[in-house]
Amino acid sequence: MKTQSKRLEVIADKFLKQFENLRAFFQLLADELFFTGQYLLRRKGIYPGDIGKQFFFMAYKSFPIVSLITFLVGVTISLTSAAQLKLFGADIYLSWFVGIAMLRELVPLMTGVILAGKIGASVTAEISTMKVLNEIDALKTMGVIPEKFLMVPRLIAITLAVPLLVAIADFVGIFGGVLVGRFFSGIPAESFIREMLNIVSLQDFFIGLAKTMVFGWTIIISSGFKGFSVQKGAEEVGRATTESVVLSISLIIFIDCIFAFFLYF
Amino acid sequence: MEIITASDLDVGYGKATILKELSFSIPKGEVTVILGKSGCGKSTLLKSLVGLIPPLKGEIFFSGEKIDFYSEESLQSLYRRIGVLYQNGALLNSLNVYENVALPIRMSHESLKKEEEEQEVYQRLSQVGLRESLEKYPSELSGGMRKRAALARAMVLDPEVLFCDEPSSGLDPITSSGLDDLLLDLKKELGMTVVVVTHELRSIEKIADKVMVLHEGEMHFSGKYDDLFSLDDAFIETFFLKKGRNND
Repeated sequence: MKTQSKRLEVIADKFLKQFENLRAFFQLLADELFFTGQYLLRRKGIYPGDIGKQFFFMAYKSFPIVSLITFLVGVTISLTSAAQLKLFGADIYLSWFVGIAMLRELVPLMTGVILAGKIGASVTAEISTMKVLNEIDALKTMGVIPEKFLMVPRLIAITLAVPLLVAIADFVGIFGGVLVGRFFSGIPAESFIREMLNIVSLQDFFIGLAKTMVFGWTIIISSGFKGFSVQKGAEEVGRATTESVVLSISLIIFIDCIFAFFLYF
Repeated sequence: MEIITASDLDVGYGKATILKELSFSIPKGEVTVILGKSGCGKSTLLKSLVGLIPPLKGEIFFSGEKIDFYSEESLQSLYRRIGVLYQNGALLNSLNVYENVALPIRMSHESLKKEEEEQEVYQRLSQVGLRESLEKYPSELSGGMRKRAALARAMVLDPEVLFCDEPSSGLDPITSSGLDDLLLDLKKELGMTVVVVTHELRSIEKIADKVMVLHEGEMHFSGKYDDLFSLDDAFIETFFLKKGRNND
């Protein structure tokens, strides 16, 4: 009986801890919305030049890997579907499939996953290390709000970086499809693009962009949340970094699923 | 005259109380040293005094004004009047020495002219002997240089009280003594109140006007440094004897 009540106590404690984590996550989200709005109105509270520095890291340093991965995804998805479409003599529809799949689904999802691994991990590692080295305390005692000072430049930078990354990724991914169409299905590039433009509209690009933007914000908030939750010790930094990538990717897929419900049903 | 007073202070983390019923005062324009064995709660008390850990019970007054740890306005008012030198310096690794020292200025006076900012930063860096290292990043500095750069940052806004958490830790005796001289200069030349957490006997002897000894979560002694040795107290005798041997 005693063991059973002890077990229940442990389960209840774990549940309460998860609930507290959830509360802290939404608290940080609300704080960041407030701080970002406050910054846009007053232009105070962040380090001068930090937005540019973060933008350079997020956009310029991420675009090679985002381009490479989305190009390879474009090629892979085109090869897979070209083989199936050939069976029905519907090769030309490859362009429809590649256009819609890349713009609406694969580019946002792949860009989100890459950014979670590249930017999310870096944000968590940086913030948690600062926490361990008392840099966060130092900021506080200088009258600086760390949640604003560290997070707002990153949120603004990702907002500026995502449209560029999505545009490049869309272009490169579709280019992969064009190459497969040309060399494996014998579809000339002009026909591929003309057919694709019959079905793909600017709305598809904006849907993909909106999704990626939400994924980007999710990555920054999740990684910041994990970074700030570290108390002390180097081993916590490693654990928080891994957890932040897992949390970001899980949330991206969850949010993508919600988008799918709203967009297709 | 006292600049900080605390009454019936309980400090801890969560449900754990580390320091119990502390009542003390910190005199203006003097160096007060908080000392005690490792893990006795010296740094925890310092964190509470600088507004990082709200006390579980009791009150802290700064120049007669009660600090409300749950009011952003009250904390910001406190932060404008203090400077803190952390144990490891806590310089921001992404900024160079100049930018680190200029950070408090940029965050509090964003409209300050570039020349005025430079003048302030150069003056502080000259005081700590780092005028030539302003382009260097924290990773390129030695432990002593990091501490001195952090000291320049802590005093760049002319705080009323400078808090130092173990300023001598990890430093050789010569660098440590140089840092003590700097603290004494701040007291003599600027009339700054300095609160130092340390257990380095040489530093205590050199800089302390007042001493607060923490032992087993309580205030064991609080008074003038000179009065410390007229006490017939087994803990203080043992502490100083052992420490003295270790320091020698």
